[in-house]
Amino acid sequence: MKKWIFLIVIVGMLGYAVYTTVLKEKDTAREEEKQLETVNKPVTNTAEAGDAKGDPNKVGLAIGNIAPDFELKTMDGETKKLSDFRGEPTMLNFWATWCPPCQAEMPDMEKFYKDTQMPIVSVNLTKSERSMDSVKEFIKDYKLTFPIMLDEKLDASKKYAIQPIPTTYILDKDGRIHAKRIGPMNYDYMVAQYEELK
Amino acid sequence: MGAGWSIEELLLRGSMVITVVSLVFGLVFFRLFTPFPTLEETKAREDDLFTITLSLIITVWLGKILTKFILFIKNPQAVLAYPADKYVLYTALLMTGIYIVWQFKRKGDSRPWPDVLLSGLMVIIMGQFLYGFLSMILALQPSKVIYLGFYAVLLVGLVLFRMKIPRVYLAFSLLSTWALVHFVLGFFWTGSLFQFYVGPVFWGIVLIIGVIGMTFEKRRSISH
Repeated sequence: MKKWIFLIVIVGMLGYAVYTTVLKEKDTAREEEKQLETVNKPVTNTAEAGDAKGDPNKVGLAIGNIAPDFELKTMDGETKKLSDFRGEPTMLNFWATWCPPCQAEMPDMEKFYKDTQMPIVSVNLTKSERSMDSVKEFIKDYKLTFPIMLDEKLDASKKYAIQPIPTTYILDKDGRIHAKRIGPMNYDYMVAQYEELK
Repeated sequence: MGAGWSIEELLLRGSMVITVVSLVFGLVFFRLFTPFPTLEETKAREDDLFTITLSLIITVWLGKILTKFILFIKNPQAVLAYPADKYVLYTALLMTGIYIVWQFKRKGDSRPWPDVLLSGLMVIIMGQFLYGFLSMILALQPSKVIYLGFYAVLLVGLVLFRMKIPRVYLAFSLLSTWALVHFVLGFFWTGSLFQFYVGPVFWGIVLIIGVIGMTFEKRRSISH
C-alpha cells in the first residue's frame, strides 16, 4: 500500500512541476507579446516585494517582475541607469568592502566577468563605507575591472530592500528578475545562471 | 543592513535548508523502502551513511580552506562564508575516499560496500528529486523539469524493483545510469548535484566507476 501511495505522490509532484513549467512558458510567450508596450510604459519605480512568481508587467522584486530602475554615479563620475543595460542579461550585485562574504565572492565575480563579459552592475553601499579610499583600495586589491556604481545615499539599496549583503539579482535581457541570491555566489552558480539566460 | 553571514542570512539562504530537508527525506525514503531483509542491516547501513556524511561535512570545510588558502590566511571569515563550489566537492570526495580506504585497510573492514553504495544512492536520489522540486517551486534555483522527470523514473524503478534485482547489480546499474544520464543531459541543460554544479568529467568518472564495479561483480559471480 505504502508503495502505491509513494508512487502517486512522486507522479503528482512531477505533474505539478511540469504544469508550472508549461504555465511559465505560456507567461513568457505572453510577456514577449506585451514587451514593447511594457517597456514604453512610464516606470513608477516603487518596488514591492511580491510573491514568489511575480507579475511580468509589474515593477517589483519578485522573480519575473521588472527590476526597479535607478540611476547612480560610477567610480569614473559617469551617471548610469540600470535600464541602460537592457538588451542583454545582467548581474546586479549589492556589496560593501567591510562584508566578508562580499570579499569571498569578488574574485569569482571578476573571473566570471572576464570569462563571459556578461554586464555586471556592481552597486557599492557607499554610505556604509568608512571612506571612498577603502572602496578604491578594495577595487585595487581585488583587481576588479567591471564598473562599480556608488550608492551614496543608499537610494538603490532601499529600492531593492537590501538587508543582508551581498545580494544579487540576475536580470534577463528585458530587465526582468530571473533569479535572486542572498549571500555570496561562487563561480559555478554565476556560470549556471549565465547559461540559463544565454 | 548586515553582512551575509548573519543568522538571518543563513535562514534566507534557502539552498542549504532545502539540502538538509531533502537529505532527511532521503533517509526516510531509505527506511521506508529498504532493500535489506532485516532491520539490523538497514540500521547498519544508516550508521555507515552517517559516518560518510559526517566525513563529507568536515572535508567540505577543509576543502573550502584548501581551495581558497591565501584568502583564508588574509580573512578566514570570508572563506567560511564562501559557498562551496565543485572543486571543494571534488576535494571533499577525494579526502573522504582516502579516509574510507584507510579505515578499510586499518580495521580489515568487511562491510558490504555495494550495499553501502546502494543505500547512499537511495538517499541521494530521493534527496535530489525533492531538492529539484522545492527549488523549482520556491524559485530559489532554476531547476530543469527533465532532471526531475529522470529522478522520478529512478525512484519509481527503485520502489518497484529493489527486491527483484540482486542488490549488487542494482547498486552499480543505478550508479551507471545516474551518471550516464547526467553526463548526456549536461551537454544540453545545466544540471547540479544539490547546489554543486559538477561538470561532465565528474559524471564521466562516476560512470567509469559504475561500469568497472558492475564488470568486476559479474566476473566474481562467474568465477564463484
